[in-house]
Parts: sequence; C-alpha cells; structure tokens
Amino acid sequence: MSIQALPRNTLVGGITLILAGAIFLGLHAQEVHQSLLAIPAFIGWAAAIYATRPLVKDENHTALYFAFSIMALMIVFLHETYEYSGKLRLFPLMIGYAGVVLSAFDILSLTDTRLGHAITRILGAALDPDEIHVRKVTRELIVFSAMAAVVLCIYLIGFLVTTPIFVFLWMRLGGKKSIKACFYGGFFSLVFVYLLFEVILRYELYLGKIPLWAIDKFLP
Amino acid sequence: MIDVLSGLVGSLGTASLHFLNFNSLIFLIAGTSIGLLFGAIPGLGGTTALALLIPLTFGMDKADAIMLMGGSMAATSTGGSVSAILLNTPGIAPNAATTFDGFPLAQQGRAGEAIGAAATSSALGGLIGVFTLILVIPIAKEIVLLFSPPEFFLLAVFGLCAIAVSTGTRLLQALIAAIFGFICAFVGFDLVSGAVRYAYGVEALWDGIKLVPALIGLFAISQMIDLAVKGGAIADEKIDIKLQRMSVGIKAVFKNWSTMLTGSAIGTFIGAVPGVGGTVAGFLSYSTQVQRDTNPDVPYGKGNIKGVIAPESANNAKDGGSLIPTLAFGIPGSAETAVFLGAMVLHGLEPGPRLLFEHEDVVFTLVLTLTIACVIATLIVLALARPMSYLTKVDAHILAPVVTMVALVGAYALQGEIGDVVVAMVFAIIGYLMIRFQYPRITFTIALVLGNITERSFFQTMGISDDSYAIFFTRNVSLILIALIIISLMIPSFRNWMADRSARKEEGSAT
Repeated sequence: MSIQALPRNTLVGGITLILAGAIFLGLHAQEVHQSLLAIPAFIGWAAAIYATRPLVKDENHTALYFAFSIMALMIVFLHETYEYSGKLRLFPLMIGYAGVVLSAFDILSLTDTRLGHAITRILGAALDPDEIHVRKVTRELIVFSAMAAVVLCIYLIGFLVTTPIFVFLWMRLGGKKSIKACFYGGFFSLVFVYLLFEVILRYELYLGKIPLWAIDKFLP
Repeated sequence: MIDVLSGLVGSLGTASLHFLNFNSLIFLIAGTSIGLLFGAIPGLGGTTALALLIPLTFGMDKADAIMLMGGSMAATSTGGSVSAILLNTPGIAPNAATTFDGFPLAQQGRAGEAIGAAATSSALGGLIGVFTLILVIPIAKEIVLLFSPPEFFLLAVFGLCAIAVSTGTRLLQALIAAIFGFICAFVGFDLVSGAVRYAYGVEALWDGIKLVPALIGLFAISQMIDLAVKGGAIADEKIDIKLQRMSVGIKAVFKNWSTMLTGSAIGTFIGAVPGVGGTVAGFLSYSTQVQRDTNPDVPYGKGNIKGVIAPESANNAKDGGSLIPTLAFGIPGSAETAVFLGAMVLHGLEPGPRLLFEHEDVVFTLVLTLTIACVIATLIVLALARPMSYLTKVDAHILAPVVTMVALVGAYALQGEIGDVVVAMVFAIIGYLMIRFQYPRITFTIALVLGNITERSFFQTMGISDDSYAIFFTRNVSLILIALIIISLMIPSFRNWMADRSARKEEGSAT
C-alpha cells in the first residue's frame, strides 16, 4: 500500500503519533516529572488507535481497542521495569520486550492489509467470527456493574445479607423469573452458603462494614 | 530395581491407608459427585469446579484435599458425556466427539445404551491412564535427575510454547496471555533478592497476587459472567429424555475391547503432551476409529456405539497422562491440572522432582484417588443418569448468581481478607475479557503459576554460568529442549503457510 492510498485518518493519526513520540523523547531528555510524560504518551496511544482504525474491519474494532490496551500495559510494564536495577529487572525486561513485540503483531494481525493477513496466517491469530457477535456491550456493562455492586455490597453489608439479595435480583431482573422462584433461589443459596462455610467448614464470614459498625456502636 | 519396587509398594501402602478413613472417603465421593455435576452442566466444566473447591480444602489434611479435588478432576469427563449424548451439547469440550454418534443413538431411543457404553469406557479408559502413570513414575524419577536449572527453565518455556501451539488458531494471543501471566507473577517479593517489585505501595501485593482468588476469578466467576452476558437457558428444554438398556451399552464396551484399548492408549499419550488435552484426544481417537473400521455395521455419525466408546475412553485416559508432566516436572498438561497444581502449592506441595522423591505417598494418594473416582463416577452415572440429565437444563440465570456468590465467599474464606474478593473480581473481569477477545486463559494461568519457578531457574542458571547464556547451548538436554521449543513454534506456522499455499494454488487453478 502506498502513502497516497492510506486513509486520511491513518495519515493524520500517524503524524500525530510521530509528533507525540518526539515530544515524549524531548521531555524525557529534560528529565521532567513522570506524570508530565504521561500526556504525550496518552496522545500517542490515542493517535495510534485513530490511525489504525480505518485499516481494521468494523466488527474487529473492539478487539483492536483491547489489543492496544494490552500494548499500553506492556509499555507501562517495561517503563516500570527500568525503575529496578541489575538482576531484579533482567528476566522481566526479556518478558516485557517480548510482550511489546507480540502485542504489536497482535495489532497488525487485526488490520485488513497484506501484512495483517500474513501475520494471521503464519502466527495463527484468526478471530472466531461466531464469538464476536454473541455478546452485546450494553449487556456486558450491566453485568460488570452488577459484579462491581456485589463487591461493594459485600464490603458494606457482608456475605450473608448480600447472597440472597444478589441471587433474588439477578433471577428477577436478569432471568425474569417469578417472585416465588426468586425468593426460593435467594433463600436456598443463603442456606447453602451458611451451612457450607459457617457450619461445616467453620469459616467466619465477613459481616460487613455497616453491621460491624452497628455492633461496635450499639452493643455493649 | 528391588529397592525401587519396594519403595513403590511402601508408598502405595501408605497411600492406601487414607482410603480406610471414612471421612476421606466422603471427600472422595463428594469430589466425584461435584465433578460429575460440573461436567454434566454445559458451560461450567472441571476447571470451574476445581477453582471453587480450592478454598474448601484450605483447612483440610493434604490427603483429603487431594481426594476431594482428584475425585472432581477424574469425574468431569464422565459427567460431560451425559449432556453430549442426551442434548447434543458436550458438558465440557473433550466430550464434543461423543456427540457425533451419542446423540444419534439418543434420537433412536438408545440413549441408555450410549450412556452405559460412555460410562463404562470412561471408567476403563481412566483406569488404563492411571496404570500407565504408575508405570511411568519410576522412569520419570530417572529422567528428572538429568535436569538442572537451565533445563527446568527451558522446560517451562517449552511447556508454555507447546500449550500455546495447542490453542490452534490463536497462537499469537496464547503467547501474549503467557507474557501477561508472567507479568502478574512478578508482583511482590522477588525470590532471589527479597526486594518488592510492582506492588506500588499496596501492602496486600507484597506477597504477590494470591493464586487462589485469582484462579477463582479467572475460571469460576469469569465463566459465570460469560453465561450471564450470553443469557438464556443452557440447553433446549424440548428434548425428551428416555433411558433404557444401559446393560447393552456396558456389554458393547467389552465386546469392542480393541476400540476401548486404542482410545485409552491415544488418550494417555495425548494427555502427557502439555496442553494438547482431552478435546484433541477425543477427536483423534474418534477419527482413528473411523479410519480403522473400514466396513462398519452402522455408519459413523448415524449412531455407531464404537463412535461413543472411542472418544470416551480417550478423554478419560488423558487424566493419568496429563499428570505425568505435572507431577514429574511441575509443568501442567491442561487448565485443570494447572488449577490442581495451584491447589497443591497451597498445601505446601511443590510439584516437580521434590514431590516425586520426598512425597511419593502423596503421588500415590492421587493415583488411587483417580482410580477409585473413575469407578465411582461410572456407578453414579449408571445409577443416576436420569436426574443428572435434568441438571443439564438449568437456566444460566439461576446458576450464575449462585455460583458467583459461592466463588466470592470461597475467595474470602481462604484468608479472611476482603481484598481477596476484589482480587477475584478483578481476575474475573480479566478472564471474561480473555474469553471475549479469544486470548487463551490456559497459558496465562500456567505462566502465573510457573512464573516464580521459571525466574528462579533463570537466576540459578545465570549464577552457575557467570551470566553467560552459552550454558543453554552446551548441555545435551538443554539443546534437545531448545530444539523442541523451536520445532513446537515452527510447526503451526509451517502448517499454516502450507495450507495457505495450497489454498492459493486451488484459487489460481479455479480462475
């Protein structure tokens, strides 16, 4: 593919990436504070995504963002590894550099170019198309939020209260089950967790911040 | 030779004593039942069962823990055959080949016969795999003595490469997942210098990322997130289940003993190769059977009982085989054995040469557990096939929240730290994203488990050689391992290149 044939976004993104890289190197040479270096690094990362996006099929865009996130993680890891000295960083550096190279290949493999197709063929990087379409981002966000909420609830009100509420709500809102079925689901999961962990295995389950505070405050 | 044999008999005797204890037997039966259950319900699988069981074993005696988890590990494939035959949905991937003839048999009203054959061949295949393991243990001891730090380092690299290659079309992503696993393994105290790395001032990370909450998140909760995101019932509720004539199936296994023996041999061999696993064993055994049987009574794919016996004997025999690299070298042969290895480490048992030489009784406890669990699993399936078949219809929306809560409580219960719940959830999200974007979790897990050992071997090697990498090229075993690493990475690329070339040729000739 010649430069003229490249999409406009790819050219703009590529130039921005080069500029961000130059600024990053300049600031690094000036030994500025690390938080300042994060700005051109982030701009470069965003520009790289912007540049690569037109080269990737629409259905693979989320996979591209994920691949770029992994690349960013590898670079941050490498940067952190250089903070250590001598033998402490020897093996992690090997791993880090291998990670950067492999994640670069991963990004390239997603592009709808000859190079991308060659990497996909030779290194084996084909995405299963059936798996791409079965999940919806909105549903994923709802499930992630529910999971975050359950961790927060465990922290605040403990396992024994969270368990029946979580099971009830999931069955009711997610599964559209009858209230009776949800009640039984919540009740029996509480009984199961209590019997298994508290009675049989004798673990002391976390009561939660609020009940612990209440016990501390109101009970002698 | 006599010393070796007397040592083996002594260890076998010590291990047998555990099975006289009533409580231990209860753990074995419980583990087997849980394995069957998780194997039978599509979407759960043996790795989820093992990840959930780890916290329950924390306060247990080592032998009891091994019996609970080993029982579960041995039973999942047997459980998976029930849903493969009745619903055309394999409970776990290794049972996929069973659907080819198992489901047509069920459609012909011969589900009982198919389940009888599957359960019996599973038990016999499992037993053959375990007996092979017993035979290999003395030889493995001799081989292990040839290994020193450079070889252990290269063996870990080879194990990871072999497993990455076995993921088929996602080799690149499997290698990236392995790198990410190593990165996670670096967090915390460095084993050589004692310095803390990558902890960012978080005291909870000083001891590194805790393996058990991480495994629970990666395998148990992430699977539930995936079920929840996909939604819906796991199996079609309209399927009518009829179970009759199981004894005919049992007899068919003995009548077709050569099919069962070939399948078991394939399963054991495939199991011993890190990462190749039960799915390949099942398919390879099935295709071998189809090729061997040139003039079948019933065409394959239309309900030939041998098409059930071949994959079922192979996918159970692989359990014994996959424990050979796990126990002898500490290199897990599959995701299940990787989680099992994590549980062993938790109980102070480091798989590898020390385990073989210092804890031979533990190895034999596992061997006996697998043996007995195979038989118990078969008996349970034969007795309770009908109620088990209804479990395969459980809705994901009932299953997901209950398993998630049990998993989170398990992550907490281990050390009583609420931070472990957060670790489990973080790894659950990571695990889900890996499922979503098709990055194999197995290489990540193995690198996470092996990270410290690999780095320690690397340091020791550098220490021995005064920081010279030449040491890797001056030892025979090292050279063999380097050659194996190169070959393992080259083969799929070469195969893909050849396939691509022939496809282009065909395209060219068509136009």
